[in-house]
Amino acid sequence: MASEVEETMKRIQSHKGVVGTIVVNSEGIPIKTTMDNTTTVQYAGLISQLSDKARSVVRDLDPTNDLTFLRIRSRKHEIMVAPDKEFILIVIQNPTE
Amino acid sequence: MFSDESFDAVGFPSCWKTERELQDEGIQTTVTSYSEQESQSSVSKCVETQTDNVQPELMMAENVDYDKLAAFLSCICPKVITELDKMSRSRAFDGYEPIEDDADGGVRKLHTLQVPNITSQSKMKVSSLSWSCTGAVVAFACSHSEHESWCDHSGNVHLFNINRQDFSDSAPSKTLETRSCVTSLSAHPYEPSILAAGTFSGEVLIWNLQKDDDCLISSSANVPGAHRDAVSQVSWVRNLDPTQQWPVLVSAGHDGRVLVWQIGTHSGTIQLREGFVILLEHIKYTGPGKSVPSPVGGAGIDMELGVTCFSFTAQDLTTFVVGVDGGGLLLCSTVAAKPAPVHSEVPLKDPVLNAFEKHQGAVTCIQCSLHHKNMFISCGTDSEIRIYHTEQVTPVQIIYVEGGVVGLEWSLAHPDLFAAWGTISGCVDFYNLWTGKVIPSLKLPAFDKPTLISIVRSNPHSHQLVGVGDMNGRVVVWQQPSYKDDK
Repeated sequence: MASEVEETMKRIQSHKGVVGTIVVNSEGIPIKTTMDNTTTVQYAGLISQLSDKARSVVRDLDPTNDLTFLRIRSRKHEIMVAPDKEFILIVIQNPTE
Repeated sequence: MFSDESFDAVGFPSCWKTERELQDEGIQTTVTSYSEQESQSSVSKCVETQTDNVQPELMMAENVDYDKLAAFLSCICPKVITELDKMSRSRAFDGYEPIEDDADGGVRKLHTLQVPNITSQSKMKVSSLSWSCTGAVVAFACSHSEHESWCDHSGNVHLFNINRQDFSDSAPSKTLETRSCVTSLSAHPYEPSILAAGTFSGEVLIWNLQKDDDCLISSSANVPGAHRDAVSQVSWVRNLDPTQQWPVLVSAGHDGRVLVWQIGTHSGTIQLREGFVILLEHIKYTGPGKSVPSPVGGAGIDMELGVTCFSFTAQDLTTFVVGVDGGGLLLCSTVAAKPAPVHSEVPLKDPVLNAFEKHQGAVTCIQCSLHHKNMFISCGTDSEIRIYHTEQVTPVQIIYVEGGVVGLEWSLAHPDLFAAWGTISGCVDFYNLWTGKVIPSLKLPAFDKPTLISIVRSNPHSHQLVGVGDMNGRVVVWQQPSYKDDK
């Protein structure tokens, strides 16, 4: 099972333009990461907070709805967040110019 | 006939031997006292510390259910891949240039305060400005631009509370009247209702703004030893005496005196604690091989030298730098002062330790750095801004400003910046201490009609706000963007 996890992570990581991948649990603690410690800790804390807030926005607007993806586009990267009940997948991608 | 004759022996005592007289006498040395004292040279130890570049511990979550994780990833992976592909193929952002974040940029004019001048015909200038320690009230004094010999005018100090909702640009929340024009204002560093001022007639006034009817709580007019000429600057300086709660008020005047006043916390009475006087002799020794010829009229070396400005160093509250008439800059100390040979009602001391290389014109402003140890900046009528180190006689750097510079102030927002004003263009420029260059993004532009700026002060509470007073009696409050070093 662990190898399956690794394989999937590798698949995402090797995709075009992906800078880093982080898997975080529901408490905001990183489980798997391809980036360095400092950055991972930063992303984990900040993104999990933002993702919780975004999900609560969607659910407040319509309780039958749920957040599937959250994309944050900045000048340098695009951060894609895929939340789940127990985990959050964060992928940082370089948008093609 | 031949008989034996014998004669008697004749004896006589020899006279070269005199009887020596003997007398017994005893002497005793005083008891020598002994004491033992041990001394030991100190042993020094060398200890080094080093901060660690702390990498945050990556606390990887334990007891992860890898099955669930695998399920989650395998479920989400195709969707993510699709999204990533869509992203790389997306043309949504082609040609999209995000607008530069303007929320923080640019200098904004917030308020223009002007009290309409109906009483006087002549031009009134803003002679001094001070923000209260909370940053809510700006107090500025309007005084006449020219004084021929003595000041007959009555002065005004206007207070505007910019945080109030009913704040009006032309109606001050309070106006304080003085008997002569006010030359300098200084708000108490932590008591928002106390304001101190120095006037043209040499008075030092203290107001308590909380009082309704008469705010003036004390004045130095009748105190012996007070200034006899115009007061050039008043400043609150932290008290070294731990028994006193309030800081002391230091005032300097054109009569050469620097006086330290103690203000009673509750009574508000003013008391002269110490007085210093700057004597003409100090200006004679201004540099190697240079000596100033004695002034016309044969003024003696014990003549006082008018003080135009002063500043206390932030780290060592006993050291201060004064600027005197003639352009001299002198390093003084309150503790290493010698009694001065000057006739006065109160004993005055001579605090001067050392002289720095002087300006070619009068010194108009000195400001000691709050953050950098032993550095201060000064400007004068010779259009130069000089950066000095207290341990070096010659300036570390000289910046020549075209158009003249009247005043300087350290920026409270950033420790390396200072503001300079007084050029004919009417702008306020901010300089970086280390490079000596102007920062264009922080420059405060001139008003519609360029007028000379007389005073600039930063708000001690909201560091982005700067109050600028000009020669037309107007005060403009600007909001500045934050400045980050481009490194």
